[in-house]
Amino acid sequence: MKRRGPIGSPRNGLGGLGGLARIARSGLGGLGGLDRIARSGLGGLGGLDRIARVGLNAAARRWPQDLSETMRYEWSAELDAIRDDPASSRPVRAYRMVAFAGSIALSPAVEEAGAEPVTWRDRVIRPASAAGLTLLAAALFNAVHEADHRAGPGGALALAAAALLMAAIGYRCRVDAVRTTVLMGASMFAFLMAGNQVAVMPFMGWIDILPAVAVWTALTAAGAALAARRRALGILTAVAAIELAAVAGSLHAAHVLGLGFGSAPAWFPLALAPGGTADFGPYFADGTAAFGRLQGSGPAFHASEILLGNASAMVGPMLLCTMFAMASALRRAPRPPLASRPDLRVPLGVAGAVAVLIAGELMRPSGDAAGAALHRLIDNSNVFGFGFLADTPGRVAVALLGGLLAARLGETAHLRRDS
Amino acid sequence: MHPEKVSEDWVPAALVAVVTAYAALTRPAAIRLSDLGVYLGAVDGLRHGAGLYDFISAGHAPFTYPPFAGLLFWPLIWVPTWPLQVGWTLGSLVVVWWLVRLLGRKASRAVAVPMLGLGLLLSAPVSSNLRFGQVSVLLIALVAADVLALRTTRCQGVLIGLAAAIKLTPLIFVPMLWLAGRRRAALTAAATFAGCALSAALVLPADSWRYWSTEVAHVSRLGYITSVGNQSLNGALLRLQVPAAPRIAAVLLIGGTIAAVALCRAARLGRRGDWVSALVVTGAASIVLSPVSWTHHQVWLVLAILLPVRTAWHGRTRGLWTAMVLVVMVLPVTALGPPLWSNARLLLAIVVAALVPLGKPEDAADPTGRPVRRPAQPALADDDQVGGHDRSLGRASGKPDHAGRAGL
Repeated sequence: MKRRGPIGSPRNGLGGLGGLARIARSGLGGLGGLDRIARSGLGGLGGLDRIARVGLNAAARRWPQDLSETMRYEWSAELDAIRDDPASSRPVRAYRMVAFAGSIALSPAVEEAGAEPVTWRDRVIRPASAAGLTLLAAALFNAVHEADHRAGPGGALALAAAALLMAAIGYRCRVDAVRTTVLMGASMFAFLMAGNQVAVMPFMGWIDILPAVAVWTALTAAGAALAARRRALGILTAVAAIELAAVAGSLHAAHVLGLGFGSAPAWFPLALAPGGTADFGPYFADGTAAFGRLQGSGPAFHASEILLGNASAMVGPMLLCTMFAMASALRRAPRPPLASRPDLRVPLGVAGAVAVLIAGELMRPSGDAAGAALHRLIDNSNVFGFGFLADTPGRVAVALLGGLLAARLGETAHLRRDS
Repeated sequence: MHPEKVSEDWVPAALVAVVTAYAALTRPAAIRLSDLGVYLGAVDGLRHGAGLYDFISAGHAPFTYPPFAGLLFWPLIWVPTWPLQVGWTLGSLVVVWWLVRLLGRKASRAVAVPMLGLGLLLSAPVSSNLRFGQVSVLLIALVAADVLALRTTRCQGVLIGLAAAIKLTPLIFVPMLWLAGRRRAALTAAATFAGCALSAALVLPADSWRYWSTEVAHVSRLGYITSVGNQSLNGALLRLQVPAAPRIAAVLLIGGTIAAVALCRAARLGRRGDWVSALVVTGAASIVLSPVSWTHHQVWLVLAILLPVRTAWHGRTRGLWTAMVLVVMVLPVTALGPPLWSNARLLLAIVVAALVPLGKPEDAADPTGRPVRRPAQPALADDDQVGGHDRSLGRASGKPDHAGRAGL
């Protein structure tokens, strides 16, 4: 939004109100000492008055340019009326001033013409839903790797199914793909950092996670923005995002492991494959690993297995989040109306929360034994750390996210009958 | 109200219910639903020839209810522990949901019913009920059902009598009915209570004699009654280390006065048709007067947000009142230390019972303090007149309905 122009100028559309607005504004400072004296004479609420006006000014700046000064004037007049109300005692006036200015300051800004209103509920729901989607992607990718480990070729099918599921969810949801991508990136960073308190990955500090997430978020958001106008370019950008994120997140590991960067373009696809698909880099014949927090020994391994296992923890969930974001960004035509169906938001929300709690019980980290960690790295069997599920508060928080996401997906399906 | 909004607004309460139940059911087995364990342990002892009041749980908790409660719990001993604990927890949640629906519909102050449910589920009393596997919320539902749902039937009084036979505290609602002019219901409640006690005496004569002659006055059996968990007047005086004689005198004099004032207020409220407020005021008095008022007894105080508090200016007081009640009843304020915070819920009970000015139902506003648009109807002299009106309409506040949006 552009900043406001000079008060009363024809450009800002205030017209005749410009003078009034100027008077109102001058009341904030132009009258100087007289104004302050007048206020202090009205019950000593001058300090509170100034604080209240700071809130009103901040709220007014969030409004469109042509309305900002009008709203500031109206609110200022209302505040004056409350402050000068002879029927109320001083504490009552003080409370009402704070309540009025607080409610205005905390209210969402008015939307631009044609845009949908944004409520505080939306401001809570959106990040929560993005966090839930990120966790869903991570859990799905862990399941894919488990299938890889147990079912061999079936793992590829599982990956395809997970990708299709995320794409289907993205197609069904009406979201701002760019904003959701940014929120998913922030969630990804937080979960990767928190989830590896139980050490599984030796290279999972901020120096590994931050470059990967930053590259993925920036380029995927750009891809989603481009996809609306140029589909092919948008898709290419999203693919490049995940490829470059894999490289950015593995540079530190490659340096420590003594791996060259010639194989870097293959890191992303190989990170999706089961352990042992490709071996390159230094060979650790005695199975002794001493990288960061991972100090242990196990079967002999190549440096590539550590690097790829580490990378998959990041790029696997990112791939699934990309499927969601791009499916949402590429959806153009209005969705076909569905047959009327019952409202399942509450049952779905409850089922989602219960499912997360059960999964949380099943996925409790088995501990950070170095031997176990090394095995898990080498066979790529369980890559995304869910360390935050170790405690009840973490499981409860994740269950709330899961339940909220399920309820929102139910809402999407339910409301489509009216579309 | 738009149908989508109705369902959507229940989502937060439903999710909180899930995680609250999960937190209760995943506690270590030794302390999981410990009060339910006491009920079952006492009845199991009875089956094996011991006395109902001989049982002491691993947490040093004895059975403290009248013998009739033991009879009611008897069938539960044949249910395996884990399914029983799950069923008890889910049943308690269903009772909370039903209670919220009933009170939300009948309250003279319009409230958003799902938000009332959320507030109850987040509150310390309801979480305490679920955590300990307590019976208190069921008793409150019985009392509410008696007063609100059976009011036009000849059965009114039966459920209050039944609740009092399980736990004595609901007896305070008998004089409330009498003073409010529901004398037949009061007599029915008293007769039901006496009938239940008599039937228990026939089946368990020794335990009944022991209870009514000794255990009923044996307050120290009820646990660590000097802790801040006991928010009765007696508990506060115990914490202040007031000697027994003046403490009992003070409870009878001060507590009795507060209870008398509360009963008069409740009778007046009941006579003008505001039975929810009458229940809340009387329930608050029971918390003040009872020798022991544990956290799970204090559900009535959470329901104080339903009171049509008389406002000083344009309904704004009601928002403050709601916020204050929720702060005191949701946050662990009693842990903040003596003398004020450790007795905060007792103070709230006194305010609710005897002090807070209550307006007429038509002054009602929603919990945020906004005035509520009501359909034209006669003054709410009788709650039956508004029985079918969904009070959740009060949530409407002029905000645009975004039900058509499906974005994440």
